Amino acid sequence: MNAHSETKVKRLIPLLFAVLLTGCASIGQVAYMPPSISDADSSHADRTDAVGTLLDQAWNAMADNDLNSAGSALSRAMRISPTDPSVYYLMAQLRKKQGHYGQARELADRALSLGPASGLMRQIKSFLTSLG
Amino acid sequence: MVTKKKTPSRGKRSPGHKKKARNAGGGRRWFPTLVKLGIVGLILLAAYSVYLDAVVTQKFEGKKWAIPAQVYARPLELYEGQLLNPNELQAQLRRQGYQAVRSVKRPGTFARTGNHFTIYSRGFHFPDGAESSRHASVVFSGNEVISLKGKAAENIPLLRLDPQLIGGIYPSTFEDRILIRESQAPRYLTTALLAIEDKNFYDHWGVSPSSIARAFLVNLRAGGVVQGGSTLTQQLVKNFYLSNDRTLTRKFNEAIMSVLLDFHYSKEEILETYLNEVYLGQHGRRAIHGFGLASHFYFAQPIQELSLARVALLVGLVKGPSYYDPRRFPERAKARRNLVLDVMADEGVVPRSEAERSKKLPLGVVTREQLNTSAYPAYIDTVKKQLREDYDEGDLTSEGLRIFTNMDPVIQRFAQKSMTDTVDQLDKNNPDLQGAMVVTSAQTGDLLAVVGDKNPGYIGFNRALDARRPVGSLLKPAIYLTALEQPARYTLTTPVKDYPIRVSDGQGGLWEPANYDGKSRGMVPLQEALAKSYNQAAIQTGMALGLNNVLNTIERLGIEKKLPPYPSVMLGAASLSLMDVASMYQTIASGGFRMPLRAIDAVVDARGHPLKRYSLSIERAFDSAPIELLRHAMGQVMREGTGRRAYWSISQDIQLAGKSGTTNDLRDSWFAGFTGNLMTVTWLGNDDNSPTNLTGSSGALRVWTRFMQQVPIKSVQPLNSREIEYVWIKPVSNVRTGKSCEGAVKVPYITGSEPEEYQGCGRTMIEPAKTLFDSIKSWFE
Repeated sequence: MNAHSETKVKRLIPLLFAVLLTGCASIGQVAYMPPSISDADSSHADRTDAVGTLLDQAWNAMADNDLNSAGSALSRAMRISPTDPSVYYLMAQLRKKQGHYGQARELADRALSLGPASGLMRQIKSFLTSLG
Repeated sequence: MVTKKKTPSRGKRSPGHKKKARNAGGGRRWFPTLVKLGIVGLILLAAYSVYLDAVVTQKFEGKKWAIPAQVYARPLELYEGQLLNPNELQAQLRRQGYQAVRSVKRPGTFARTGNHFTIYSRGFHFPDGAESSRHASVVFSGNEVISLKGKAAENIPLLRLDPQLIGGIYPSTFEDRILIRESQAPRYLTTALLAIEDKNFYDHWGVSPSSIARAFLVNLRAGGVVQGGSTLTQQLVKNFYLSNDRTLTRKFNEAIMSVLLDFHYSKEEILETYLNEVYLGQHGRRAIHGFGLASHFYFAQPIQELSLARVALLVGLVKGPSYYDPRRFPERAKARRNLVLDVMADEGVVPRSEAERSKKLPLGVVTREQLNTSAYPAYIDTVKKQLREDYDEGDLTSEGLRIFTNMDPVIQRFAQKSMTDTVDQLDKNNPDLQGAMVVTSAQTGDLLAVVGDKNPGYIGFNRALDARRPVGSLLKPAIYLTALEQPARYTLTTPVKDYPIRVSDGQGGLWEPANYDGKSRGMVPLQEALAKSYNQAAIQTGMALGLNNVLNTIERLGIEKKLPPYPSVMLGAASLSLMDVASMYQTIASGGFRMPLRAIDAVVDARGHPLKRYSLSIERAFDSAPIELLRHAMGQVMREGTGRRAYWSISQDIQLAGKSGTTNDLRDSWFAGFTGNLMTVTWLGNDDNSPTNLTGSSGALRVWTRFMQQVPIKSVQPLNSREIEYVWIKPVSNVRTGKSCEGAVKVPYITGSEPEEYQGCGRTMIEPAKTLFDSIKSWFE
């Protein structure tokens, strides 16, 4: 029951955010934009754990357009933490960069099925929308 | 012809002058003949030398050897939070030839004090780049790595060890080698080799007349061949270009070719080729060539790490690898090694004291059991099968490819051990009992282990890949998944009919399946029908859904083989391989995504350039919600049904999911199931298809459980689906109830499909429609 309620509470958060952001948008034209590889820093840069380090490596490799290295780092991360939605999400972004849109969608969908936290869930959904 | 031409001229001379002419003029007449003969001989010799020269240079400059592909296991990665038994780490380090030392100073060594390891890892060139050698300190608490630090006590997020070499893909000659550069040879290798085999290597022209003369005298005195006068160059020519015949022609060719080789190439090039060509042992049909491979074959270590004593042993083996075989004749080998050490000291190559110290050391040869190459034939077999889809056999056996696989050496070892130990226990009544097993990563489909026989290292029929056996109840999840995809008709608690039923047997007759215990139970909740594996309920439900719909689900789950459209197929009359079953259960374990089972991670060419990566590729085959319901029911199989024996030895806190399978007359015993991280299929049976007296639960489940209790496992996590609601239910009457009521269980439903009727702890009532307030309140309960 607790887990169930928690999920529901989590579901409320994006709703509250949406309400807040709508408010903001009407005042200062601020809208939520998903971070993209080209114009942001790696969101994993501060992590010192194994998976975080590999995600950071993958992220930086993608920023440098070294897509093979990014793929390797993500495969290693996946071996260590095969149910971490952020690994699948970054791999989805990599597939998109490689032009494999079908796989990008499947991997993002997989990330969603693994119960991402609300912020990540929002990013993944926005990513899926961007794939059309 | 030459002689004939001259003959008539003799007849012109007068008989009176015969003797004188013969004596005085004979020399004059024969001289030009001899000169001409000599010139012709020289021309022939020159022509022959030109031919031999072409032979020598062509082979030396072309691709010298066919290099078999090398197959590697997945590398062991250490990181904080990793679950690993410290004894397993130690065993794995030893399997990879890491030497246990007191003080860790060079790559390939480690020290252990209780739960604290110091490891000096080896550098390695992975498909994604080079990993440098690293000095690290690893601390365990129980079976968990709690700290990983570098030499300066800095935190290291990850330590990737070099991967274990697990086999090769050999050509029909079974000649195997690992190439090394002369510069990679350990300090004493070439000096020892030259001191023993060819002291004047740097001074002679390929052949050494003085050595031949010395050998000739020694042999004359001994009355037989006791010493060879061959230079290293001659030995190379003999092995590299010529047959092993002891004929004069061969000797003649050898001498000319040696001079030519020495003329064309530097001493270093010749020496390097020798280091890689020389025959140093036999492993079944596989011929061990070159010092690089010999080092792995005898010591499980890369050549660069060998100590003086070990180098001396390898050099000693050159004279006769089978006569001095250190595994079969350790005393003989030791005497030979010590002789090499003495010669090295005599020649001033090493200090006498160091030679004496080395002479006291044991041989240090790893046993054949420790020698891991070809210890995993069933896995290598699977790798080969997958490789043949992308590569020619010729490329695999000759181009020096490096194959990086997903085999996890720790998982593979436990899988084989669980099979061997369980079959040993069970086979008191049935000595021919056999088994097979497949283990994958539950989320990614990486193939972690393949067991093809009860005996480890057995090379032969690979049951995991090639056996096709009826699967019994293993297909029942497909029937109920078909049902659960129709939430308006079926939920986990919908009563299904467990009544006798007659259906077509596909051969013009009728077939009437019975339950295992012969009893029919009337109406039973769907999840109980699966958990207890009722046959009649399964067929009744399957027929109600439509056979073709169930077959379609089986196909979507990953069984690509077309199954015959008979109702008996739903109860597992169709024969499938373990890999087929694994594909199907993989889709369920991963939450409804289909994915190939991948034995190979990457292939790189001889120069280290990646040729192909086999990265994860997935496809959603089922929505999360019905798959989550099925996984819940398969959890019930483990808690209350035919899989409950697993919890006798696995903690109740771990959520498991699985299904047993038994075939007619107990001929096949199956179990397929998963944890959050591992998916495993096990099978037991007799090769001649005779009864085993084992059900899925009493046979294959034991192997499954024994394996799962020995490796780190995680709980199956519920899938995130917005369409799932959990409701307190009385399953027998399929009504909602209060959570504190007796017999109440929490069951997942696809939203809107949950029963509406409510029954309190004592009385029945219809629940009033929920208000918005009730819904919000329930979120916080």
